[in-house]
Amino acid sequence: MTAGTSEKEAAGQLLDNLYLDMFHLIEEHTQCRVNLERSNASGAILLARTRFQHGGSNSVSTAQIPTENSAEFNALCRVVDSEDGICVERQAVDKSKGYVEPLHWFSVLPPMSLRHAVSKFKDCIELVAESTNLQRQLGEALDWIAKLRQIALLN
Amino acid sequence: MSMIFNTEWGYLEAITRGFKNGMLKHSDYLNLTQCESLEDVMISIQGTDYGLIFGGDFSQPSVEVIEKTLRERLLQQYYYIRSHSTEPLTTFLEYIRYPFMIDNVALLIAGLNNHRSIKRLLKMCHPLGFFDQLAAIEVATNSAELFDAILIDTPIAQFVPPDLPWEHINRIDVEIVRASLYRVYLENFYDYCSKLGGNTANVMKNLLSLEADRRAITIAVNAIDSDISPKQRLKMFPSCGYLPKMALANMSTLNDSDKIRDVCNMFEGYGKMFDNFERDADGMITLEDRFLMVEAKKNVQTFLQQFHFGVFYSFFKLKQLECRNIVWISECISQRQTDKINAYIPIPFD
Repeated sequence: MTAGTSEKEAAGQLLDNLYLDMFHLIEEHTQCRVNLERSNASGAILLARTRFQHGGSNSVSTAQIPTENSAEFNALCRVVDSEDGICVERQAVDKSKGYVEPLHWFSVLPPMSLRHAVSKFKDCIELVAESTNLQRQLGEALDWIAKLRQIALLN
Repeated sequence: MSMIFNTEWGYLEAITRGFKNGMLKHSDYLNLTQCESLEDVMISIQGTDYGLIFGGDFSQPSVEVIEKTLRERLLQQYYYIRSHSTEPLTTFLEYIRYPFMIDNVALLIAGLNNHRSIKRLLKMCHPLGFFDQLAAIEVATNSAELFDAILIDTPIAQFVPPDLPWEHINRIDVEIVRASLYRVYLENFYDYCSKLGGNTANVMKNLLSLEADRRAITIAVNAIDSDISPKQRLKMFPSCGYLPKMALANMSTLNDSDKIRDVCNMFEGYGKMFDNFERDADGMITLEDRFLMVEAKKNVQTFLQQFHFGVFYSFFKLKQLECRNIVWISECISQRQTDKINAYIPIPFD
């Protein structure tokens, strides 16, 4: 009987810890999403600022972005899925190997606002990876909670 | 010049001053910054001198629609003045159009390199920069043809620098081509204004020298850490500014903004443009904005003198700045980032 009670207590403790983890993860995940939105919004307003300073929509324009028929190039940034979670791998810019700098599609003389926008959008990519990892951890915690609750019911 | 000015161009100068008096004042900008949606912005604009430019149709408010409509008004004002003008004012007004043509050609070359359809690209072009052969650029299958067959008959043929290797244009970035064309344009315009003499020459030389220095400094700062060689950079710097050739040669070799500031400080006191811009949040107010503020002030001062063509040039510059201000305010409202809405450039009319 006492062994059963202490097992129940242990299970209860574990459930409490899992719930606590769940709340922390929810908080971190929400904060991550908020940061992502903030970064993205900053990037977008900086693009608008570049157009403002350079007079018109031609300075940052969809015409400058490559299409399917343009020359091939390699991705500078890849997502790698491993046991530890998602991480983002970056390659160095090397024109001879096909790793082009996307900033140069718009201008080889990029103004300060455009460079700031680039760093904001790079932060966005890191935040997306972080958000995905947090979401996965949250999913795992919720699974464990569900399993534990089923076992507790059988007790 | 002053005595016969009014016989030929008095009416046009008066009309331009009228247009300038109708531009947005500080109170109009306050109204715009307090709008909560793009429909409100459109209604506020219709309450100003612009009048019913949107035709009462607010079904699809977007920043693009606002920009396009404001541009059309600028176009109407330009063509009204141009169609009533006589030489040499007509050539002077054409010079105001050339930068738009250069931008359009650069946009088309960039877009065609990416295999985009010419119809879509033509819609993105600025209407002030249209010329007959613009659509024909698509037909050129290689760059040598582009110059020999098409551009040679266009107004911008005169701005192609003789040492630009046109056969290898594909290898040169579009931005460098644009900067080189713009340099020759600015120097040509400067010479033309000098030949006109009188008040026009004084006023325009002042304005164009500022523009030349601004281009040189901006290119020097933006080229920091890029692959562009100092020789290529020097070729992009216009030489008709206040900065002496020695300063330009020095700036082309520098890769640090502090050193560029030191060069600017030594000549003409442009150094104070570089101050403070790191302290502003999020990099909103940068070097370009400071130059825009100085340019706006100088353009307003042009109107203090009479009987010169500078009023036409300054009016169009100020009108473009006003369009950009309204578009910036609209973007802030549409992206819901109204904390940055006051980062427009106020035009110091009083």
